[in-house]
Amino acid sequence: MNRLRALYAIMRAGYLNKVRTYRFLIILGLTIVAGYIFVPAPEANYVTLGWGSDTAFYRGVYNSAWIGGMVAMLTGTFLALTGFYVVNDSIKRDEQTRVGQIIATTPLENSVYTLGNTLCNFMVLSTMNAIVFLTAIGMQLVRGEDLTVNLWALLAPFLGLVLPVMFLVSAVAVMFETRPALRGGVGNVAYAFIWMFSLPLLSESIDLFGINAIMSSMGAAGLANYPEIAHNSFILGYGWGFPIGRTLSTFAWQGIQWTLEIFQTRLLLLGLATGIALLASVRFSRFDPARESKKIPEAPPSDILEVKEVYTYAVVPLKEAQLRPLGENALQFRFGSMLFAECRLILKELKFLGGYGYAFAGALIIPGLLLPLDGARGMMLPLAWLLPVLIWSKLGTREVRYQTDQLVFSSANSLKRQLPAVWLAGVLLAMVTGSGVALNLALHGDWVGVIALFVGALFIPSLALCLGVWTGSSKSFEFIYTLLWYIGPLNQIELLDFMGALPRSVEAGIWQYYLAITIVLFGLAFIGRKFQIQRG
Amino acid sequence: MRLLKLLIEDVSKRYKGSDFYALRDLTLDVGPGILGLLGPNGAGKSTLMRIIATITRPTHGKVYWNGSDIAQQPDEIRAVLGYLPQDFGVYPNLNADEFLQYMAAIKGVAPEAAKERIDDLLTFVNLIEARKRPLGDYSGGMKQRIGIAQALLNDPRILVVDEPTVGLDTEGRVRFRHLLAELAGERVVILSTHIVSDVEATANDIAIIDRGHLLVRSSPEELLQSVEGKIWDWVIPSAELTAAKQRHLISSIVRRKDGLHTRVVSETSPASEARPASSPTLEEAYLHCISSHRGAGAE
Repeated sequence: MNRLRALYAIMRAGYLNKVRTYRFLIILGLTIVAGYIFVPAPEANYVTLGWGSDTAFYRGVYNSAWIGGMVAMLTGTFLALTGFYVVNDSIKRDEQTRVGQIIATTPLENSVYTLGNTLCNFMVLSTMNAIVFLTAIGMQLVRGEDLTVNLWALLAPFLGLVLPVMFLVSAVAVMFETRPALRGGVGNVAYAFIWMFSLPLLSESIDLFGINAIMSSMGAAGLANYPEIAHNSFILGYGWGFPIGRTLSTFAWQGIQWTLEIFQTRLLLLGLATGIALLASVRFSRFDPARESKKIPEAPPSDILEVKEVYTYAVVPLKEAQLRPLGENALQFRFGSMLFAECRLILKELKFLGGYGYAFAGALIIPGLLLPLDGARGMMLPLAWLLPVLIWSKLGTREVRYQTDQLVFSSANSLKRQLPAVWLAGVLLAMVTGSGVALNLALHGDWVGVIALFVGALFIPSLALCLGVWTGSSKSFEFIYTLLWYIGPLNQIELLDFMGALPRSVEAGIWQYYLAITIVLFGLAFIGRKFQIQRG
Repeated sequence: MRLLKLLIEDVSKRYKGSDFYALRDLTLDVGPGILGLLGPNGAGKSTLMRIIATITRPTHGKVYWNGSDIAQQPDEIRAVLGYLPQDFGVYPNLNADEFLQYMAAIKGVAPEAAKERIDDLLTFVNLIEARKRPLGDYSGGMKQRIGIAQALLNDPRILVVDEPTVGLDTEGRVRFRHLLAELAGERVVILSTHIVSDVEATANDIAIIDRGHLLVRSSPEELLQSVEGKIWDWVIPSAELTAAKQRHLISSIVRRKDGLHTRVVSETSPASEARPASSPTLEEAYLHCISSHRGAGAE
């Protein structure tokens, strides 16, 4: 009984703490927008679910079953990624507020704590789903193809398909938080990769999102009405730029047939999630920094005294301590010193690579120079600009993250002096890590390619600085940049090739757009920092 | 020498989305020397410190530094400001040298001058031997000393320190007091604290605030004078302590063979056997000030 009460208390406190923030209101707003986008109008130049070609498009009539199934599938896929970033700060919050240290001294079991936080995360994600569900009802009425609202047909896909996935995401978020190596930026980037590469595989094998179940049912209904559907491609997601002149054909779909197999998969997911939540408790440090330290004292007992001496410093007698006044011209701001200090701060961030940071950088620069040009810019440049993502993501957030904001912002002209230095340090980092490819391009006389790469080097820190200053968190950049990096340069979507990795995008002058965006982003970062300094 | 003057004029601060005023119509003028700003937790001291340090803007009123409105021209004061906030952090991957060099660059101290200054400051705060250790490994007290060092990097004309001795050991506290005394003559120092002994040892001027209002502005001597004849030595049996505490403001208790030797802060004698105490302390004067104003407010 006590365990249940504790579980409820953790879930409730965490939930209330999360939803009573402006951030959550913004997230809800974005969720409503997503719900709206998921149900495109017939005349829209994009589609989200159906079968199509350049000339024709087939989908179900916008009745409760179709909208429920479609929005649930899209929401499940979308929130499996974004939801993680919304909820993966439950334990971090307890650590930062130091409430964790109080919790650690209570008889509360680790398993109850991690399970309670999993449930808290689940409640938050369920709230978001509830909002999407309500939006879906609204969208059915707005689109007006079938005005009969069947609540069960709308709700069932959310309950049966999406919520178990949300529970899994909630548990994984807690698991990441309990592992020091996965708690910060590394975990944020790693999860994006897991979502990109593993979840599609899981969807195929165990039908994680229930897409196969819905798709085959919808497909059967479509084929019964339009046999030619078999020759069209299935579209799920954001089919942008779909030809406007296509013919739209619709058919009625009455919803998914709930089979035992579907229930078994959902139960498996719930069991897996509970297992992960409980497993997270096994090596949970219980807010003891000593248990998270990688340094294991190796000194034998006889050396203990010696170790103690290292940390005991002699007191310099007060009479020997003199504070000489600063000279006449000592107060002269030098941008070079500021930039050097920011660069050093950045280099120190490479600590997460242990002693191999510089070796890593070298391993990315040299092949960029030596490989054939296409391989260098198509493969090595994206790789070179993935490694520093955790460093760029701290631009604009470092002062708040490390609580040095009051020290930095109370210094003279910090907006005009420190902010440009922070940005330039980020640009230099991009230039250094991309220098091998840049040199390769120059040696091949591809000067437009060099310019496109240079624009990329300006764009990345600008995006990081802007997102960092406005969101106050490194998470937004880690998430957006990784996604952009994957969809653009890696999947060869020219419009999203911000780094000039694709010869076609360079020829098309895409870099010019990114130069303009860079200026806007830097301007926004400047304005955001001005607000930060003049708050109150 | 240029005039050094901070004028806080009719300043109020109300936080967004709340009717609560952290400061209300507060006026103070501060010149060279050490002003000890005393007040209980939640009195508004840190809010005032943040306003002076240009971190927070007042809801009403103005603050002038040498005649310049710091809300309009914040860089006038920032250029000569040393600020130690109550809560601050450091970059854990940097060592003391690197962090102070970083702060020196932000404050516009030339690198050569900064090097010498950092040496002096690290000696003064007794971190010279720990200067190469990452700040992430520092204890709370050591971080506090780094905070003190960074506040003094630019040889500030105005030094604003908020609860500077919290977390310091006795030796560190004594060094800090010594440092303040050395600095005081040629600059404006505002020392905000709830530890009366820090102020007693250093300040030549005292302001007491409570619930956002300025209660008293005086010299330590005047403040002590104000409680002359209002402190009583009173010996009571242990069993009567709870009852005595409920009726009187007791500033100290010492257990002896003949009972508890208490010092009571009271306008009148708490009991016929109580005797007027000699030499009131600043802490007693402070307690008397707070309790009498709160009593007056209650009435």
